[in-house]
Order: sequence, then structure tokens, then C-alpha cells
Amino acid sequence: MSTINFSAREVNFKIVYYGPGLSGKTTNLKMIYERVPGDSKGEMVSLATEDERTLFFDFLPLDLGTVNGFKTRFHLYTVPGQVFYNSSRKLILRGVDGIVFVADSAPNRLRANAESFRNLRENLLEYDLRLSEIPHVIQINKRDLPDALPEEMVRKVLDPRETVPAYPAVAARFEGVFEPLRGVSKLVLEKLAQKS
Amino acid sequence: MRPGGGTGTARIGPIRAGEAGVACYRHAMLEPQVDLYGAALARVQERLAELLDRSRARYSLVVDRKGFVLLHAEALGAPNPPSLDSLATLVASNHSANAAIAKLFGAGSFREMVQQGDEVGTYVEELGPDALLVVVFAGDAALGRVKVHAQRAATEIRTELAGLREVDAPKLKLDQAWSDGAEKLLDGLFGPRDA
Repeated sequence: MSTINFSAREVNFKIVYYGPGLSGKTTNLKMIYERVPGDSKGEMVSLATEDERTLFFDFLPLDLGTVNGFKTRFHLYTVPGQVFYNSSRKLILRGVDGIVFVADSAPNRLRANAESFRNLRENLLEYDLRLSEIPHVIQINKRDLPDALPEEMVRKVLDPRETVPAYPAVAARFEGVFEPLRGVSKLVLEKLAQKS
Repeated sequence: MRPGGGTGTARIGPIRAGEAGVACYRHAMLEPQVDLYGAALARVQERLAELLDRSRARYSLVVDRKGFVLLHAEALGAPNPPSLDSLATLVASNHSANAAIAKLFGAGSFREMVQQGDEVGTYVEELGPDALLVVVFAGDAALGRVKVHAQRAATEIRTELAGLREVDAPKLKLDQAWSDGAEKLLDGLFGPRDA
């Protein structure tokens, strides 16, 4: 849950971008870093391999501003999408407040989307958490692919009842990048307000 | 956001008016968290300052296991620190990864976490289940000296935290008005909301 730091008068949230390998999680963070004004962002940290695949995580702190005398801040993380980095994914989920699941629209990645989503549920259970308890949204990325699957098909595989907000995106062109972040942030804020 | 220095961390200094009161170390809702304020905050700040003074280290921080900076102190004359957000995130993640490695071998955790380079080093001590003490030192500070004083400070801070478990924390009012205010900031940062 959110970290409330009374000494620094801060409310901090942790948002994690999850999804299969090469779905565009790091691209989202890079785009956010490029588009957010300088005084609202910190340094972006990427722990990646030489070929720019995420090895451990990417990290970007955002400073929303001050409400009622408390700074409100978001720490954005990505997880490594490749299947064999599951230990790292588990570690990054520790203390998560909200999740953006980045799905890939390519036909040959439909199964990878489903497996990653299942993996997310399993890893949350390691912390005794259910996905339904965590504010989350789905970003359906790579809508510009010539053979992109219909949005509904990608979404149905992950969320058959269509209860989770979903956003089409072409993250590499900065289309649909802020919307899911704003969506999940709103859900996180609402949840904290309800709990208080 | 302060360039290169992270934001919002509590520097050593007097307690602000209105913050005096109790301090609390609590297990809240989904994820344990550490709250420090009032008299205990001042005492932990003093410990961090003493640690720097005695060990000749540059910076000392209390960070939670999620990677958020809770408190930090800088030695007089120390150069501006790097981004404290990045430092806290990397240390907390590194600590988690090391604990996972220890677990692979059937151990609870490693006893020490030290990195030492030619110019700079870090030393990390656990502060109970939720927080870490991080000391950053330059080449002119002896590692042994850093360890001794960090361990002593960690013991004192742990005692400080352990003694506060039963105390109720004052509630922060994060109501609908707060949520609405934060949403407006979201719109300001990310553009107007969806139709």
C-alpha cells in the first residue's frame, strides 16, 4: 500500500508496468520521461542488458504536486518481460499500489499476453494479494501493426468480463501512453481515499 | 523536483511546528510501512547525524523496503548527493535480490551488504522487516569504522522503532477532497481527462 511519509509530508505510490517481453513497457516509461516537464520528474534508471532488454527493472519517479500540504508522488517501474526473469518480477511487485498491464496486439503474442497475465496473478499471490484487490488497467499496445488483432480479442483473453479499463496505444508514437497511467493513478487515489 | 537530489526527504534539522507528538511503527493495510514523526523522528535524525560524524561517511539514509526514502542526512561539506530516489530504489531492490539469493541456499538473508569501489562505497543494515539503514562513504572513510558506527546506529534505531509499535499513529485525512485535488494535478500533468 502507499507509503505515507510524515516527516517529509509525502504520499508515495508505486505503479508497475507488467506484460510479456517486448510488449512496450520500457517504451512507455521512456515516452513518459520525454513528455513530462523537467520539474515533475526525477532521473530514469534502467537496468538493462546490452541489447536494451530489461534485466531487472526501469524506474522513473514522478512528482504530481502538493495536495493538502502533502506532496503526492508516483514511482513507476517496469518488470522484465522475458519468461525466465520471474524472480525479478516478483521482487518488483513488492508493495505495488497499481498496475498497468501492457498487452501486445501481434497475433503471435496472444498466448504470451495470457501467460503473462496469469503470471501476474500468481506472483501477486506470493504477497497474499489478488489482482482484483489492486487497481489495474490494460494498455493494448502496438495498434499500428498491420496484422494487429482486434482490440476486443486481445482484451477478452485477459479480461473476459471487460471490467478492467482498457486503452489502445501505440506507445512508440506516444499515442495512448498517458491515458492508462492517468487511469490507474486515479484508481489508486480513489482507493486510498476510500481506505482513509 | 530538485535536480539530481531527489525530493522530499527529511534533512537533519529542527522539527517543524505541529509535528511534535508521538511516533509510530505500524503494519498498515496491504504492505507494512514505517511512519516516523515527532520525538522519535528527531531522535532518529540525531542518530543519523552522529553516524556521519563518527564514521566520516557522506550520507546516511533510512529507506523502506519498497525503495522510498524516509529520512536522510548529509555530512557537512559533502558534495550534493545523486538522486536519492534512484539510490533508495536501487539499494532496496539490491537488498531484495540478495535476500532471494540467500534463500536459494536455504539461508534467511546475508549478514552484510557492502559495496566498495575506489571512490565510493555503500553499507546497508536491516532495520527490522520494513526498513534499511544505508550509509554512503567515500574513500577517506575506513570501511571498518563505517561498519562499527552503522551497526551501533542501526541497533539504536531498531530499538527506537520497536518501542513505538503500540502507539497509535495520527490519521492523515486523505478524503474525497484530497483525491479530487490530486486528480486535478493528474490532469495538469497528463492533460485533460478522457471524455
